[in-house]
Amino acid sequence: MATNAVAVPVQEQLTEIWETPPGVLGRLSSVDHKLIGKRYLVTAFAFLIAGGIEAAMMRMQLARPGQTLVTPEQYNQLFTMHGVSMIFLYALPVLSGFSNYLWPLMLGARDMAYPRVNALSYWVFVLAGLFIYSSFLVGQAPDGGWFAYTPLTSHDYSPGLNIDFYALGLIFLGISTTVGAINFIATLAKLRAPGMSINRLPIFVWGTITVSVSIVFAIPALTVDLIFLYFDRAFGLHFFDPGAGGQPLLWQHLFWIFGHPWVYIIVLPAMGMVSDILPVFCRRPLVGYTYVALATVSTGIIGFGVWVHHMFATGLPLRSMSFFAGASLVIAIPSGVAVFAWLATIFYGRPWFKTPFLFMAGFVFLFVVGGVSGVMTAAIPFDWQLTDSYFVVAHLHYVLIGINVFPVIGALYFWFPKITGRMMSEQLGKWSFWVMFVGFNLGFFPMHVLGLLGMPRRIYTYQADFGWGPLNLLVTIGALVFATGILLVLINVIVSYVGGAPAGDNPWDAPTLEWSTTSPPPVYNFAAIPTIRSRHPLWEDRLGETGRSEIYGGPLLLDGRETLATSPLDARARAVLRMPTDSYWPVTLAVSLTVFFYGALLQWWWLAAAAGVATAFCCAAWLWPSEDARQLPPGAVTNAETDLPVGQTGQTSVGGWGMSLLVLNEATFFAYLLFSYFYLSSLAQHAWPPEGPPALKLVLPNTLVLIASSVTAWWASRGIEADNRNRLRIGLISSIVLGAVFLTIQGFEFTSKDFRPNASAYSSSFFTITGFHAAHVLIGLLMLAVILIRAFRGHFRSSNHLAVTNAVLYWHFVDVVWLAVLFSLYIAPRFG
Amino acid sequence: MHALMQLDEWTFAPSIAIGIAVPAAFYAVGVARLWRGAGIGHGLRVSRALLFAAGVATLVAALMSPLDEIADQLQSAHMVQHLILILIAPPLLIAGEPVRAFVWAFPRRLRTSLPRWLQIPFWRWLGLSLTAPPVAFALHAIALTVWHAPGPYDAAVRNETIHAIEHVCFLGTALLFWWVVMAPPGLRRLSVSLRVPYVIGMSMVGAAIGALLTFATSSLYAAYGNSAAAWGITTLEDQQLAGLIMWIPGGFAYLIAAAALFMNWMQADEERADRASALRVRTEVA
Ligand code: HEM
Ligand SMILES: [Cu+2]
Repeated sequence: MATNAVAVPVQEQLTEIWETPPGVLGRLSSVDHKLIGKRYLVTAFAFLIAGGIEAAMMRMQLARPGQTLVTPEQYNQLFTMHGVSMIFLYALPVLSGFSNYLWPLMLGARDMAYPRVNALSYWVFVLAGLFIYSSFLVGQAPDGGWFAYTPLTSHDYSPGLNIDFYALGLIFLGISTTVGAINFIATLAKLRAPGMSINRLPIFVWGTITVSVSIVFAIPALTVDLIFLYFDRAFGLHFFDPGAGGQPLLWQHLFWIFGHPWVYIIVLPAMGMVSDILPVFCRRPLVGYTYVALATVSTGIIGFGVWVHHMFATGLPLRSMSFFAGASLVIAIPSGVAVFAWLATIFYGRPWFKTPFLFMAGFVFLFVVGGVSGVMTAAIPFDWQLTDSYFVVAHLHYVLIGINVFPVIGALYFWFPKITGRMMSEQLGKWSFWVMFVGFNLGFFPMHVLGLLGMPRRIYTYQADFGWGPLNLLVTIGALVFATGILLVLINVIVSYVGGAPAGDNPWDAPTLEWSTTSPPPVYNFAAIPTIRSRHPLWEDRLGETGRSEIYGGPLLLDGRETLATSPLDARARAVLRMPTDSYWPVTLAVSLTVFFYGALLQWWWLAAAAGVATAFCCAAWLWPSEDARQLPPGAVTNAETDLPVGQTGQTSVGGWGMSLLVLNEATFFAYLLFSYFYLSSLAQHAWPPEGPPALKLVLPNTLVLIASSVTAWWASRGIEADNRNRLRIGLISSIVLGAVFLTIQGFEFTSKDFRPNASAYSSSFFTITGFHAAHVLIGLLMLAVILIRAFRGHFRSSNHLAVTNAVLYWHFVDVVWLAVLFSLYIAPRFG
Repeated sequence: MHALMQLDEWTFAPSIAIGIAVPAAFYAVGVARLWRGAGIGHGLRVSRALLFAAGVATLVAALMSPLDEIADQLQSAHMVQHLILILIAPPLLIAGEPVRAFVWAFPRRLRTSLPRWLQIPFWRWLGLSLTAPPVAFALHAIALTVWHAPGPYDAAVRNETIHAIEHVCFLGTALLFWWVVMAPPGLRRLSVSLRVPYVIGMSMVGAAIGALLTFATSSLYAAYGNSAAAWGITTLEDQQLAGLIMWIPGGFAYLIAAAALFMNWMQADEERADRASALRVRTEVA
């Protein structure tokens, strides 16, 4: 099509700039978001298949009563690994894959905001997945269910490595999820094409941004929970040990504070896909765009409010349960808004019955069915009856397969032509849909009935005289039919990849920006940075929009890897960004983290320590600026095409956003730590703290030391703003010395206690909280040290000191956290 | 049942009555003078005045109606009272454009010299720092958290003066908090995209306090003694109810506010983007 509006030599030049070095080694270093997105997709589908094989084994075992294909222990491992694979290793990563591939293309950018972090996020994902799966090699796969309730998972009842694989593997995976989410947020804030205002974003982008923000606040709850679990198991601490003042329910609270938002995290982007794909096949814009966007965002928020709704059967006060049941019903409002918007779009449109449409329409059907059974589980008496029965298994799969798998497969049919340049077979596509749809209902609907007949979940077999045999056989057959449908999809992918019909730029005649590129898109995405004037850049003529987007006449940005940075609010072009080049640091860092987690798993502390040092070194090396970057501080030159400065600095630059989001994420981590502390204290049966409020004689002066270090850090950063490099150095040295003094005194504070961390739940939380704070001081010190070295090498000027600002921000953050810790652990007990 | 008989008893503490009446009177005088000159509904819309009146009415309902009496016996009623003070009254009062009305309450001479007074550096500094978003957020969050610690909370329930201080803290910091997102255009200090997270952030503070109250297995506050029994619930149930009210209905109030701010943002954004995105490209280079 009209891509040729940009001259061929220019395209060649851009290709040369953006291309990844060839060969396996070259690809290991690649930071191209399209390559990373494809890797995410392939890996996530591999985990879907792994989880599917586990499911098939379970269903073979349950097909007839009294079978012995697997032992009870193996069955426990199977359903746990199935749940973990599906929830953590397939459902979100597959959506991240689409987002990674599509975001820059939808937003009009040439890559994500942090291309190297993007690579890191993928490597950590795949290595964490393999870490968890390596448990099969030693026959000790996690076996406590995907939510691993204590005390079943405590060391007393699960002495093997099973749960350690689970706890450490998911902490590891959380790193990938978190940095990925931060990357999406910064990309949306900074890299949208000029004119891409927030109410012109595809709903899929709304879905992903909502879940990215949720992730920043949700994952720390899981991380804190898993750390408690690991500490209880490895060091004999007592967070979940009722004998020593701990609370098994604390596990559930933290888990569902994370888990309830997570359910929305793995469905909202998929619902966004539906909102974007359905209109294409209805030949009209989505009805009620603004309300669907609002529904997306508020669903994400409500997800945080109602976590207790998963804990009906735990004996919490009945009255509180009715509140949560009511609140859970409220979530039906935004979902209802979305359903009506979809139905209206179909009704007022002229449906075009292609495969993607079938999947989207099938999804709408399953969404309504799953919603109804969800409302049933939200009603309390009903829930008591059905908790831990097969009804729940049915509900769960209607929700997850209905709202995640069907849209995802539909999205695969829809975007496959863009990604590969080839169409998938329509005929095979329609077959795959109907086989999946029929198999799914055949297999999973009878599970509702089995639940009502009293069949519990998580049983490895049952007796013939219970009368569950025939339905179970039906379930197994249905599941196999469903699996055959997925197999057809995979065959279709392979066949079409090799020999599908050429797709052309926009085979579905879709309205959004990604369809303006060639299929597959060139490495640089857009030869010219577009300017957007409406929500449907490719349908403007037809819809009679007043504005006309400019797709081929924008700036070319040919001096190295460059894209436009715009302002978060009104997408005004602010600067030309120099994008990072390919690098081996992300993969190296991910590998050293893997070693670290194996060290922790085997409790080979020397290995963990060595890997920790290697990780710190990788971080420093990664962040060390290249020679070019230093020769060319932000704003030093002006781009001739656009008159915009090249490079950007300050709090609102891309780097500044990253640091602020990281700080927010870490602050949430400490908030959950302190929440747990107060939770345990409010339930304590004995005096809390056992020996009275901790003494202040060391910590009060020490607090002053830390505050002083913040003052000197602030003084240093003000110094470099005024181009005073001496002040920078002196200030940094003072902060480092004061920080080291703080840590030393904290060491005395720790040894002055006459209890050890494993004495009681109180001592466990005291040492864990202060210990994590001390660890963060250490990280802050390392950052300051690196900055100091760079300061001596003369890296910073008044025009170029973002790294200083960021490190100092982190340092202030560490100090503020200390004030919160001081208040909670030392001051608050005095007002008890 | 002694407690139930007080349902129709209104309380009348002079300090509270004056505290509500004086600003209300100021507002009324200002609006009257404004409308006398310009005509009814000019300079300040009638709907605005009604919103302000509704705000005053909710304050009366919270602090002078039988609710206030019941709040001394039931923690859950006390929580309702507090939610009115932090979630309902402040947005209504601010929506009434009080600053505009107050200015007109002054006689002409004072009114013209008012701007000069406001220029005094200290006042400017104070106003600017109190309405800085992080400061307003922190003050409100600290007020909510600290007053729910057992010591301060019991003191407030036992002593009327401390209780009045508690309520001033809640209302005052809540006014600052909502001002940040609702102030008239010239005075807004928080960019439109950050208002949604700002409001939701506060709902999380409320949720954390509410959750701790809900899940505590013993009564955290001693001051209520056993007064809940007269209402047919235990002290612990009363506390759970209080926590839940803060958590769930309180949370939805923030959510509704966030939804309104979101719609606002969506509308504001498009025009801005078109104006801002006119990018000059030198084609001769290309
Ligand atoms: C091929 C399709 C699938 C089949 C046949 C299947 C089958 C099963 C079976 C038999 C169980 C165990 C029930 C029990 O004994 O308690 C189970 C559990 C579960 N499945 Fe699936 N499943 C499939 C796909 C999925 C998908 C796509 C997801 C998520 C996206 C998923 C998520 C889960 C979860 C979270 C559990 C609970 C694990 C636990 O109890 O800890 N499943 N599934
Ligand atoms: Cu009060």
